[in-house]
Amino acid sequence: MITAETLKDPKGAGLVGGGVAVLLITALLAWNTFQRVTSESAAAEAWLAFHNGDDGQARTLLGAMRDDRPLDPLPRLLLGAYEADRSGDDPARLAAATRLFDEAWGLEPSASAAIGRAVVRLRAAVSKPPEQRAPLLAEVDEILRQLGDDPDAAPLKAGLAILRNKPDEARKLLEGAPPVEASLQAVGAWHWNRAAAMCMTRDGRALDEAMLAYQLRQFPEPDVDPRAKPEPTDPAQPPAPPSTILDGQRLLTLAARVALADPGSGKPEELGPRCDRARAGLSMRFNGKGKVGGRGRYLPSDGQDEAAVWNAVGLGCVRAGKFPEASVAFEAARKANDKEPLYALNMAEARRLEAEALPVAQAKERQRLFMLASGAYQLGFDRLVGKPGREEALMNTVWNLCVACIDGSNPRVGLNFYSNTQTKFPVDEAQRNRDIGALFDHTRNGGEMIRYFEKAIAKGHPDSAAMQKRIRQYQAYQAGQGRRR
Amino acid sequence: MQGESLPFVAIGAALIAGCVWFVQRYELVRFADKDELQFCKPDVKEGTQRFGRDAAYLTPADIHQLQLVQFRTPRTGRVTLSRVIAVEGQRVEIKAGKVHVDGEELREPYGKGMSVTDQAPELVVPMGCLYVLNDVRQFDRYDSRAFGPIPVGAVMYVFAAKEPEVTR
Repeated sequence: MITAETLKDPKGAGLVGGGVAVLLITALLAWNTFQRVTSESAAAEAWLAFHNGDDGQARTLLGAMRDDRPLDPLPRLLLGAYEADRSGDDPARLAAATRLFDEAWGLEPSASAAIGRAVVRLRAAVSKPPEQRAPLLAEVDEILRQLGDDPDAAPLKAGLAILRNKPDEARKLLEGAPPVEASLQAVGAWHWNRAAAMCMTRDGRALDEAMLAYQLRQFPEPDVDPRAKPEPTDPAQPPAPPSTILDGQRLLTLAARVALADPGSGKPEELGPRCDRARAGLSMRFNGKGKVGGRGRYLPSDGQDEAAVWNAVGLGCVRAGKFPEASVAFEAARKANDKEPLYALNMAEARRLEAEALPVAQAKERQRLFMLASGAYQLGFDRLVGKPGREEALMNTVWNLCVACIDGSNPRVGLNFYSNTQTKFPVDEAQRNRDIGALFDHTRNGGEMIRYFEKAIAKGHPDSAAMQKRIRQYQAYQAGQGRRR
Repeated sequence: MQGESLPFVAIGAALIAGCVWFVQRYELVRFADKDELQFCKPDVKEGTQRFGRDAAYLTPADIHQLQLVQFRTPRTGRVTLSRVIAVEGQRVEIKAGKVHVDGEELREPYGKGMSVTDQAPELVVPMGCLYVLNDVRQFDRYDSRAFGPIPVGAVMYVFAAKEPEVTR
């Protein structure tokens, strides 16, 4: 009634019309604001999930964001980066990432899109055999030429040089510190590619670079332990996503081998500090027990690779004369891969070297270390038993164990061990007599030594000449002693 | 309204505006997670509450050295509390258990249990990142020594650095 009366008056009609228009505009603005807030909130959630590595959820949220904003390249860039990070060796996910970056480039040709396009093509090239890489590398070359002097492009150019087997060129591109304006990912890639190029040129500084690269590259944490055996899954379900975190572990392993265990990787005086840095740095990555540890805390490493890393550290410490540290590193290697006898034997050798390096006055400590060495030899022996093709190593271990027992002032234990092993792993009589004679020689029991050596010589042992020489030396020594008396 | 009441109205309005501003930017954060607290004892005690500045309103330039930050760790998203040691563009190096920023040794009365064997190669903190270390360094290295610099986007709250105690 009031409205009808108001509309009769032109002034009133104008006011009502204006009010309705204002109401409509307000409603539209409110709706737009609500839509915007919802969209921004979803985008922020997707962004957080992307950064926090929230697998599954990030993918869903970023996918929704892409569908919501068909003309915005950002969701495509983020989703592309997400897929590329987790693609591992999966060509389907890598192809999806390539498509997303190409779409982003089509919407807006930006440096981020160009870098993404180059990165996915480099990754695709890595997964192909060298002879099939040329077309992809040519594409990357073209993209990088368009990028010019972008600070994030230098590591990509170096990556391209590495794939073209030109590590020196890569190192030249990555000389000095990374540019200050480079992003976290670019700085990570900078150190990563420098570490790879250093490994290729056998430079001992590769491990420092690899450790920096691991810190700086934000590897996504896999939801599953990559060491775990794959469980039979429902064929309808997609397999667990592969992860690039294993790449980090592989580069660290390779760099440790190059920097510490390779005799040609630098000056000996650099080795000691390098070993210290390696032990401090790697203990943050590998816990020395082959365990995964807390999520994100330790590298979810393959036990074999972890053992190889610690073995390389141990070899470096031995070369640097750091025998106690070497023992600890070999012990870590042994725990990481308990089936391999090599690590126990290396540990035994390190302890023996540590004992031999001590002055004779510290007799008790020497004995303790020799007995520890014999214990480690025993571990190696237990793991060697029954391994085909390792018979010679087995007999060497028996011998070393007996000698370590004798040096540890337990000659009876050593000799008994030798006799006991003869029942399981018999050798011919001449060899047995020669070994027992030599063990008696090590215990400085000349009479028994001569008795066993003579038996071995009588059986025609190939070392007869050496044994005769030793007998003569002992007899001459005895005669000298007699004259002095 | 009488003229003499205007100043009181203005003060009241300013107070309300100040409260709105404060409430928008600050939040009372309670520290109850033992795992999180192991890193910054005894500066932050279990069960205490502190006003944290919401990082959503901050730019990298607003976060300074020695402030405490609560952030989500890279790769895992776990919430952790650590101290900012260097900001973007600064050089950090750990030599014999001593932290050097831009070539100068950092005096750290809050730092506990740094081992002389601790070392980390020199690193330039990338753009938009922070280098953070735990105050308690002996038992746990779950900070930038392990996962590198953190992006500012991962920071949730920033807490004012307490004046470090001067040991005589």
